[in-house]
Amino acid sequence: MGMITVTSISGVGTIDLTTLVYTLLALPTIAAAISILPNPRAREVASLISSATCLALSIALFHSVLTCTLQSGWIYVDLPAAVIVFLIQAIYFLSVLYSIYFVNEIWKERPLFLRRRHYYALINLFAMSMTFAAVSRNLGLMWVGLEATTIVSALLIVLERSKASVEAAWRYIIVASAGLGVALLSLVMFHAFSGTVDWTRAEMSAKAATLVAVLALVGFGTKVGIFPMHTWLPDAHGTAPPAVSAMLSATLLPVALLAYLRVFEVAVAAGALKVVYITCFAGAVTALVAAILAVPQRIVKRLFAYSSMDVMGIAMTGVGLSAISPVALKATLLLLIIHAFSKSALFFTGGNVITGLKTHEIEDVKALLSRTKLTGLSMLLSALAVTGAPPFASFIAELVIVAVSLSVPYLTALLLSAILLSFLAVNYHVTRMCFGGKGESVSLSALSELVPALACLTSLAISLVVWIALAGGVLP
Amino acid sequence: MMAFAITELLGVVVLLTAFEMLAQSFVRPMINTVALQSIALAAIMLILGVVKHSYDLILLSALTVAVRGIAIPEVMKKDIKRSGIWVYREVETRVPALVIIGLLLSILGYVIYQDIAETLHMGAEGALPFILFLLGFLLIIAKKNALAQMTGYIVEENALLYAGISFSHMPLILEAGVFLDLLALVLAGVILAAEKDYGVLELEELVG
Repeated sequence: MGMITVTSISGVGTIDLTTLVYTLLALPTIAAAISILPNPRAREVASLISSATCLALSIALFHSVLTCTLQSGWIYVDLPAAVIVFLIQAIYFLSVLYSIYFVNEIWKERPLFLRRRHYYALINLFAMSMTFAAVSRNLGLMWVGLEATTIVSALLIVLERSKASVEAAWRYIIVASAGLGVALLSLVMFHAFSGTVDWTRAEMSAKAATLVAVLALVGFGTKVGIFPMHTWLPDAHGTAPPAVSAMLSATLLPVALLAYLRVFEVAVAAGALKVVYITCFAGAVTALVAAILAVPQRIVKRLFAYSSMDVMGIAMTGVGLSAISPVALKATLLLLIIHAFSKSALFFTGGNVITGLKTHEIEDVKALLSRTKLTGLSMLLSALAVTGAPPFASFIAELVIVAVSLSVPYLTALLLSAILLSFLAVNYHVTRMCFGGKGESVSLSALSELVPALACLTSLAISLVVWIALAGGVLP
Repeated sequence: MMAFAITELLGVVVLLTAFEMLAQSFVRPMINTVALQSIALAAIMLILGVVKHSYDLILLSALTVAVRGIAIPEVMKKDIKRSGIWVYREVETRVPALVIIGLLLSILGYVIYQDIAETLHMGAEGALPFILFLLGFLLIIAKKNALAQMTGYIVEENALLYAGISFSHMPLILEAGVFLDLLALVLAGVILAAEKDYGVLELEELVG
């Protein structure tokens, strides 16, 4: 890997990239501190300003990382990290926007588990801890960041204080932390074999790397939602407030995947071939299981949660296949980008169904397309996007991953059936909700309709750019 | 040599505390036992630190006593006072079965560890932490009470700390981060534990 150490963007003044990364960490922390103050406007404004600024900064970071890798002290940002940092900030911004609507809406109805000030503080800290994990070059710090996300997000899940959400949060905290315990064991072994936890400098024997990587697959895989350690995922993503579900699905899962990718790359460099196969099949089996489980779902957000698990399975296969062809990694990143925007759009529309129609059952939702202005349309398009239908770029991404998978026996069959089944399952349920039947028009505030539409449009726009780039021969 | 004999003896004490926790149905003694386990672990670190002249290990030992020996047990005991009967006792007692499963798991763990150690040329010093790690898992799986599951998680983390010092210990800053996380996790855990319902939960939202 030809890596160049660069610390500033040439051209646009001179912004120090290291300072930029520190700003990404400092802004949400400051916003969290302001959120705790009693002023209700201040916390909304501070969170919005922080997330919007972080989004702008992350785009600048992404742009400069396209040509070279940022390495400075404990910070390491290459293309995968930059993509994920960008996703974190984008979904953080959208989630804050949607929270302003949703939290005020359900606050009218009943007292909540968290005070609003704590909710905003935790949302900001959630984004910060994810960014911290994504930019660390040290696997241990990455682990610390990931475990911190478990703590803040578990508290966020209980916002509505229903029996189901408390139970879900408990399962999440126990299963995810026990899983991360295995991840820490893999890091202890990593350190024992290579004398460092810096993945860019680590070297070990193939046998040692196999042990470390398999432990990491189980450990970080728990947090990614890899079968059979996925049990917490549908519970947590299904019962959390929509904005939190969006951040969990769209960004937290990729951050955990990034942590695994780092260990995986060390294992591949060490020549641990078995790890490649294990990763590919763990991903494909996860995708298939998620697709099968999505079929009988009755609850709107739980369906979307299984769809997240499905996409993460495909992404995990993509990570495995990146050892065979580097293009698979780029396809995986593209898949994660489209999934992030579309899945958060889906969770926001799910939130609109809950506040507007007062139900979470798929059965009770009818003719959403004609009863709402934008919610139905956003849901329909986003469901197509997360299941890899053209014109969305997730189609290209899945096509590339399937194409590369041809070099591994049986993998393509598993992967294709998973993609096909999840396409049918998710879109069957979503079309049932969008068309058919009749109902009075649902009154939703402009903000609640606009946020999912914005997310959906972004994913369309990115897809358009990718198609144009492909046609122009810019992308490989 | 004397020092290493003592650390090995303390290692056995650490392992025995895990068995005591498996056999225990009441929550308060479980919390006390996990505190004792952390302190025994801290003693091992202190001895190793003095023998190897490693200030990191001595500092880590002090941190362990402060966070895992005192702060975390205190946080958990506060919660016992707050809530009702479920927090005091395991719903059903399955002590004999659990202890036997724990013993079998330890033997299995030792055999597996030996196998791995032989292939990868590692020393025998990792066997105890590895067994402790498995027992921590068993505690999380077998106990129904939320606080008891939390102690199981602390046993798992203790095992990792133990593994860390048995091989080459991780950088201090990292261990400090792990400590902070653990403390925050226990805080969040007891908040949730107070909200949690027990018994048969028929939650249609969590089915399928």
